Amino acid sequence: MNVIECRQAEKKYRGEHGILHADFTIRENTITGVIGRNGAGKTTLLKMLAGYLKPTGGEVKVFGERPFNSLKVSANSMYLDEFTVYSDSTPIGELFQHHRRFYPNWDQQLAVELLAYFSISQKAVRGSLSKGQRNTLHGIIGLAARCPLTIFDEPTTGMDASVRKDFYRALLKDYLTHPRTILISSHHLDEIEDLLEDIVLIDLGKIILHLPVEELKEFGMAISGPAAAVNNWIQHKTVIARKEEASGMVTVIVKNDFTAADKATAAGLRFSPVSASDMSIYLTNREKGGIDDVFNKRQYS
Amino acid sequence: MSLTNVSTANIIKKQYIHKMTSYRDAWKSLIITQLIALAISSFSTGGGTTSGDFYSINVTNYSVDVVFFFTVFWAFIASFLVTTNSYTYEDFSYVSNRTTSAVSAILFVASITTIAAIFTMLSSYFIFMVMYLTQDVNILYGSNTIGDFSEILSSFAAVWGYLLLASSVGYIIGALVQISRIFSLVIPVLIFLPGFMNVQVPILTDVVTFFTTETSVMMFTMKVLITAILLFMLGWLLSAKKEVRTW
Repeated sequence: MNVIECRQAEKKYRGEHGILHADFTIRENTITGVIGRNGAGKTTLLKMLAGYLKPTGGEVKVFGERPFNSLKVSANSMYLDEFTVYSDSTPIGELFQHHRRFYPNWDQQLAVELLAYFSISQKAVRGSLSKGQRNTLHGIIGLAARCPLTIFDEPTTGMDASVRKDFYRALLKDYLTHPRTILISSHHLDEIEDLLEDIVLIDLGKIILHLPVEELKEFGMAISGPAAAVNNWIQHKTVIARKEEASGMVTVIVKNDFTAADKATAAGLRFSPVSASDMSIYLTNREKGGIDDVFNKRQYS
Repeated sequence: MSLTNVSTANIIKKQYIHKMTSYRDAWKSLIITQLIALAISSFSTGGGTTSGDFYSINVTNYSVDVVFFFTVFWAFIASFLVTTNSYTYEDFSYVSNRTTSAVSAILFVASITTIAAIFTMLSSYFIFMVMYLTQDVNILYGSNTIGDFSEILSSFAAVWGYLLLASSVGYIIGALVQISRIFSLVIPVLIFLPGFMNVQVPILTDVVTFFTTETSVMMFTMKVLITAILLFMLGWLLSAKKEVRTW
């Protein structure tokens, strides 16, 4: 069953792209990573799915309903980011009680134990927590609520490295015992790669890829060698990125759609796999070159 | 994971409980407002002395009018604040749609207003109690506060009516300001400018006399109830299209 169905969904802001032509479906009980650079449109997409924002075009369906103003979607989904609004003067123990009332699957024991593990007091008020602790709290709430659709938008902002690891581990363990549909957005794919089944890659408001992580790992190949030989071989191939290196050597990332026979013709070139995380960076690179170019231009002008 | 089916009425009830228990600031501000007003009320509002050959009578008046006016102001501010984004957004952090959010907020405002009206009525007794305990004098009760049941009821209806009116006006203005910030400039100007410039705005004076000159308690209560319901519903309609947390 599909939990999420988007047909040409679109959200335009004044002067900004938001999300354009989003066309995808998410199956039940999967963990999907929504990956993209800052401002790519991840949050806009996720908030549209949660019913926070109203699409300006196309169709968005969650559990078969339009999420905007749907009580069914609200009861069965949860959207959490660092800005999620809870009363700052309410003690955390009481916040848990409120969630218990609203969410029938709420696991009070899990919430209390996770909170104790991350050394946050139940008596503390949310307003007194640090940014990392606040996100940890939101993460705990998202896990304990066991909503059929849970959306974590950049859940680990401000968390230290060990809390981040623990959080993702807790998420995976809880997912395995209580399978549900989870969306996680992040710009660090390497951090959540092992957790994910599918990836939605967004750039400039467009969904450029939606595929299993395993396929993304094999999506491209890095080919390096002397410039002339590489250039000769990559004719008629889909080039994704290109890096000039010193002494006439180049590395080119090409789409992995060539045959073994193709590969055999490339004498003296080195083929190496590209990790999913690197691949997502290459795919969302907006300019040829990099940050160095900005400075190089300044120096020599 | 199986989906949860929810009914609108059920969610409104849950949100109402949530608001009654977690909106501490509304309760705190009510208590502080009433205490300050009571402190001011414990100063006499006037009095006089009469004396004859063998006696002298010293009359000192006390009134809880200040408590009433302060509480009207509080009702306006408290319901204005309930419409602000941080409160509505919190509804959506739990389970909500625009209808349940607005209806539970209106029920909450109506409830705290009723409780504030009861507090205001009781404040008279508080003054009596303080005078009784601290002064060795005869106390002459006003007939509006300690009379028979129907008198208490009619003054309660008046207090409650004005509080409800203030809170419904606060709610609609809050809803307008949430639609556009321009209203936060336009509305105060519309209300206060005529007063400053000594201009009589016909509609405004008509509105005031519509409520204040009513002599029948029954009619007054009806007028207030209908006006408040209309204002609350308009506020609800205004919030029906709003997006949640665009940041």
